[in-house]
Amino acid sequence: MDAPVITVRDLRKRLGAVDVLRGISLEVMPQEIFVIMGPSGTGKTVLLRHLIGLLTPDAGEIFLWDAPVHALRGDDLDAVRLRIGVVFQSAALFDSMTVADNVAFPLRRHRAESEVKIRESVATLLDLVGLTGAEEKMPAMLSGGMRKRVGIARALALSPDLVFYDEPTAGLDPPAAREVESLIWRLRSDLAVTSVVVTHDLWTAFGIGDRVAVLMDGTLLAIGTPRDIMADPRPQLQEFIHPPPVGGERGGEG
Amino acid sequence: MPPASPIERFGRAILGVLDETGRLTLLLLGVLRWVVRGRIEARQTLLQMAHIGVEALPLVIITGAFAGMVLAYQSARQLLSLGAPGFVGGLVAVSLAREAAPVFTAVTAAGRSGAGIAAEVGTMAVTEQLDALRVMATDPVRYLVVPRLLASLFVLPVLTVFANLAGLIGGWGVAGLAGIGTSTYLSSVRRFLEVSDLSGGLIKAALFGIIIALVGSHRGLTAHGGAAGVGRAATAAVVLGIVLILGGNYVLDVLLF
Repeated sequence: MDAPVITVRDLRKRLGAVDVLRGISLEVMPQEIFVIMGPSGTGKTVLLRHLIGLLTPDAGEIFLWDAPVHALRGDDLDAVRLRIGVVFQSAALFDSMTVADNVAFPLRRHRAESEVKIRESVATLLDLVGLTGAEEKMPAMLSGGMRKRVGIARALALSPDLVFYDEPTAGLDPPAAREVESLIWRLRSDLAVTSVVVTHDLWTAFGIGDRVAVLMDGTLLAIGTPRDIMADPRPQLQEFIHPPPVGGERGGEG
Repeated sequence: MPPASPIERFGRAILGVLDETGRLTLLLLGVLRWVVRGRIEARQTLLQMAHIGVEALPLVIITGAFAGMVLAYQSARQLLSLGAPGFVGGLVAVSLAREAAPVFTAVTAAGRSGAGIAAEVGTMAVTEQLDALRVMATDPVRYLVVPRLLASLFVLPVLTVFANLAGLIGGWGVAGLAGIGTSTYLSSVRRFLEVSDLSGGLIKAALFGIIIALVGSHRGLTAHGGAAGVGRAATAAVVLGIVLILGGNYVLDVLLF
């Protein structure tokens, strides 16, 4: 079997007076779409920020491939980061730059390529996310879904082996959300990237996840295929997956 | 919790000042680390120099001119009554070079550029753009703070030269109205103004430039809490910047002149 892309062992983090992560262990395999799911405020984003080296754990280990991200700093950490892409919840586009300059940013910084070559790469990336022709637009002119897709194009610029998505469908209307989901799915099959998706959206989680990890109160309640998770009889899980209807009248799922 | 006693509050204020000074020093060391390694973003630095210089220049010229006018008005009133018109130009020029030009320029730049840096970097902080830089293997201190600090360090003395010129011209105009001729004014400037007055003022301006960029960047980098947090960062950058400039000015006066 292939070596895991991500290995997390007994990760613990306390922020202020709260134990946000209380012993997380997981492995993500190559080309997998691994979803970290859970209600809002359970530490999903904190976990993600550890995986990309933006937070340092109080205890535990995080390896991306064989690089100990929990212990790396400066240039060593940057070397690992050149192999990953991150799509932020707010897309985090540089709002002083055009769409093209946003997507070109990592290329200009880390690839010694001609401007012509960079323009070509930007065009290819924008085509990949269905935004051909948006080069000269400013981020403020874009809809939420378009901003997300520019964020994805920028995250893919350096051809990463591993892409992290923080709440990729949050704040999008359902058609835009489905578009982003199908894009994540397509990138895996076309580019063979490994994907880690953090979401509170059940539809997204079960729709695109090969495996889903359910994070609640700082621990992983379950890890398994969407089918495994749905079949898990534990009341905490079932309550999250099938919340009781509001007012008790309408059926349906939250 | 009972309300804090005056002694407690005083202690907290002292701790706050020490804490802030420590953080600013750490940021300055972070900047120096990149500068010493020669990893300077030339393009960003030039852009920031243009930005800070152009945005502050009109205000600097206006404040410089008024400073010169006030100095000439007050000194002409006093000195003419003593029958010493030949001192007015020199008094204006020396006061401008040592104090008025660098301090007014720095206070103006703190209000414009210091607030601007805090707001820009602060917006990036609260919208995950700093995190985006970090995960794209780009240290925000290197990419954002170093260029702003270097730009501010070099641009403030240049702006101060403009403030000096504007002040001398403003002073010349007011002195003229008071009946002091151009040749008297200029020969007085030449007689009293030393190179060390000008260079001391420019050294001050450069150090004020560091303070402005450092405080603005630090407030920006640590901004949190959305748009309100960005507003707080910008306000704090101006207030703290001006206090440090005026306090620093006293210390530098003792050291330089």
